[in-house]
Amino acid sequence: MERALLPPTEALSRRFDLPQQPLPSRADISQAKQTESFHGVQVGDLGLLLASDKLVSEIFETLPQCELPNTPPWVHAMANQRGNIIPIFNLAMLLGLPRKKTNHSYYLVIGQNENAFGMLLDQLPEKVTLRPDNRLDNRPPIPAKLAPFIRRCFERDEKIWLEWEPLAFISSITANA
Amino acid sequence: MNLMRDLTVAARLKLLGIVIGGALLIVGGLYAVNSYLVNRADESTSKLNLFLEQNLEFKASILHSQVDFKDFLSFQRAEFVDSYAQTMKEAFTQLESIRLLIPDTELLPLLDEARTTLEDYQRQFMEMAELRIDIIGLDEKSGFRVELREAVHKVESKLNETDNIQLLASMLMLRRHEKDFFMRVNEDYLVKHREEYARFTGLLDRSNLSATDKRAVRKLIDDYRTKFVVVGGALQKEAAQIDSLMVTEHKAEPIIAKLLERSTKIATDLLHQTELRRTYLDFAIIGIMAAIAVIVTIIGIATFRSILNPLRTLRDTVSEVTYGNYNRRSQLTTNDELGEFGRAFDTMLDDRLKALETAERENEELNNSIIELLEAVAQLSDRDLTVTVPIKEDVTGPVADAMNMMARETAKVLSQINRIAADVESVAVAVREQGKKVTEVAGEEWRVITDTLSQLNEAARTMNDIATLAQQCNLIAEKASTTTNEALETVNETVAGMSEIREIISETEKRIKRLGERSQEITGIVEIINNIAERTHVLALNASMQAAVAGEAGRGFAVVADEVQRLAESSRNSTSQIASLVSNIRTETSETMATMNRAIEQVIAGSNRAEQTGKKMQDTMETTSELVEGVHRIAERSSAQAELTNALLKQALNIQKSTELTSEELTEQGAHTENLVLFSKSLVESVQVFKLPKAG
Repeated sequence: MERALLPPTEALSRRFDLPQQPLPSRADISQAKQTESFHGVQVGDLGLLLASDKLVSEIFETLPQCELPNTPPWVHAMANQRGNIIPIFNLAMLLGLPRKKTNHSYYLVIGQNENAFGMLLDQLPEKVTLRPDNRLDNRPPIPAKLAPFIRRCFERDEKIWLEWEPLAFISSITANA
Repeated sequence: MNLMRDLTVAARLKLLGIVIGGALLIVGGLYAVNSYLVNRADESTSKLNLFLEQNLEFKASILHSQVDFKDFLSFQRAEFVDSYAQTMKEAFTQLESIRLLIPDTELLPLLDEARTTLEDYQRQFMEMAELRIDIIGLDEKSGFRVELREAVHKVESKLNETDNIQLLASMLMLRRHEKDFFMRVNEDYLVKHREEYARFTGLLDRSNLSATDKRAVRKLIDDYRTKFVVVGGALQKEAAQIDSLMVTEHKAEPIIAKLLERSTKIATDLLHQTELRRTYLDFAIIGIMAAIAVIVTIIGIATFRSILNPLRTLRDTVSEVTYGNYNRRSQLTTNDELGEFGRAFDTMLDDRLKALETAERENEELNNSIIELLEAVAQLSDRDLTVTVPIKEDVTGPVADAMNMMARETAKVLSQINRIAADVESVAVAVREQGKKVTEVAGEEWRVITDTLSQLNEAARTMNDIATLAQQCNLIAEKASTTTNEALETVNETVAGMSEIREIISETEKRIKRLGERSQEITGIVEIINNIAERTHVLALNASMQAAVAGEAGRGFAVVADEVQRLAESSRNSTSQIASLVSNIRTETSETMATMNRAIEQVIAGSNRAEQTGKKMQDTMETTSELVEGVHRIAERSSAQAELTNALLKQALNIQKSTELTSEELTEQGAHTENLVLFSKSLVESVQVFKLPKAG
């Protein structure tokens, strides 16, 4: 549908009225300041929160990798991340959680240099913003291997999110292995 | 006339024939003489006319020669000399013709004189012409004048070389005199030319020219002078000859005029005399023929009267005797055949008078006998057949005898009639009875026929109705055939339409297939987009993570990364929707194609059914055609049957009429039989009125 053009004089002399939006209230601003942002990762039916401001992490769709013989089955392979050799773990298998059947899997690499490791993901992480009131006082049931490395628990939109310490967890696992 | 009385009629007619024959011979002789004389006069006249014509032509030739002479003098051309010679030759030829045709010898001296003069005239002209052509020349480019011109040119060119003005002037004077002389042929110019020549020679002698030039000029001027003298002399001679020619011409003119005048006069007189002679001859012939006519008329009238007068006397005699004057006689006294006839006629009249008196007496006697006969007949008419007539000696005797016999025989016959009439009466009564019976039978027959007729009438009406019905059936059948044809065409069109539909559906199927292929391509593209969106999502997540690690510095970038991530998610959602839509499209396309295939199958089945319907329709049409033909035959035959029934009805009507007629005739016959009975009764009664002799 063709729009009729305004003559230039009228267009220049026109007043611009800004949309009348209510200004954010102080409470809103303070509430906004209290929110926390995470990257949420789905492992099996567990939602794990990753404090991405503290940890260097990166997602790969593919990585050149090689399986290692004589390793536990949850050690997926050794991968080459831009010249840095890192292990890839199958956390779902490690934690005894069922995996979603998907056509595609991703690799989330957490940490840097020799501390870095990768984990298999069935779907991409998502940005999760949580308010203080989303925090759960009581912990829900968590796998035993993971439980010592969970700092806080949140619930939003009837979904449980667990804030965890990945590097410590992996160190513990590898030490036990 | 007395002579005529003594001659017989044959002799008189012979005399008349001889006179008429002689008259005709005289007329023929006169005609021959007249023809001979007229021919001679015509010959003489034509000869004189030819003579006059030759005279006129001779005069014309002379005038023509004079014109040629004048033309030659005026125009100086050689063709006029030829024309003159030709004309003169014709004039001499005509003169010879005149001499041959001359009617009077007194013209001969004049003719000779004219001939001599003309010969002189011709000779002089020819000499003059020869002089003019050969010596003087017709113009300056011919004859001796050419040489004169050359001489002049030589002198003038020589003088031009010498450049002596006086000599040139003198030469010009010489040429002037020469021209004057040529123009006028006057002696004075000759003298002037001679004087100028003398002056020229003087000037030449006195000039300062060299002796050679002087000699040369002298020689050339002398040559010129000599030639001038020759030409001048010729011109003078020619002038003299012309004068002489004029004299000869003037001399010849009166001679020729006189010759022509005399010739004309003599010829005219002779023509007049010939005309006069012809007139006299005509009068003489007319007079002789008139005299012959008068003589023949007189002899003819005498012969006519000598025959007609006795005949008139005989006619009057016969007329009076016819009217009762038996004493009249012709009393002819002539000795010819008519006189003899008159005398014989008178003798015959005397004999007839005597015979008439004898017959009157016998008639009286016969009258008495007839009265007696009439009385007997009166008795017979009173139906008395017993009467007997007395028999006389005269001619009535046999009549009376015959009447007696007739009465007897009639009586016999009447007796027989009486008997027969009684028999007839009895038979007539029997016939009447029989007739009554026949009439009754005829009435019964008429009733039967009437019933049959009404039944036949009903049958004919029914047959006509059937024929009409058959015609209607025929029309309906034809209409059915037409409708079937149309239906067949419609079915054929339907089959064609079905084929078109099948083709269209096939085309649609192909297009839908292509649509499916396109959907497949879209799916591929959507997958690519989805892949891109996913990778973008991954990138955005990585960026977001990196921004988060960067802390406060990466906050702005984190916002961008989050926005990119949202866009990537939106893209993924959209591509998912597109994929589901395309999937739906493909599913629906597949379903549509399946539907299409079913439709094609149905169309094919429909086409087959339509074709089968078409075949069935074709069969129906053929059957309908046979039906139409059958109905047509039924219609034709029912029409024929109706006509036959109508004919039968007419025949039955005719039989009815005949029966009616028979019945009427029988009724009439009955009446006649009644009459017959009555008549036989009255016949018996009529015969019984006669008085008959006793039987035996």
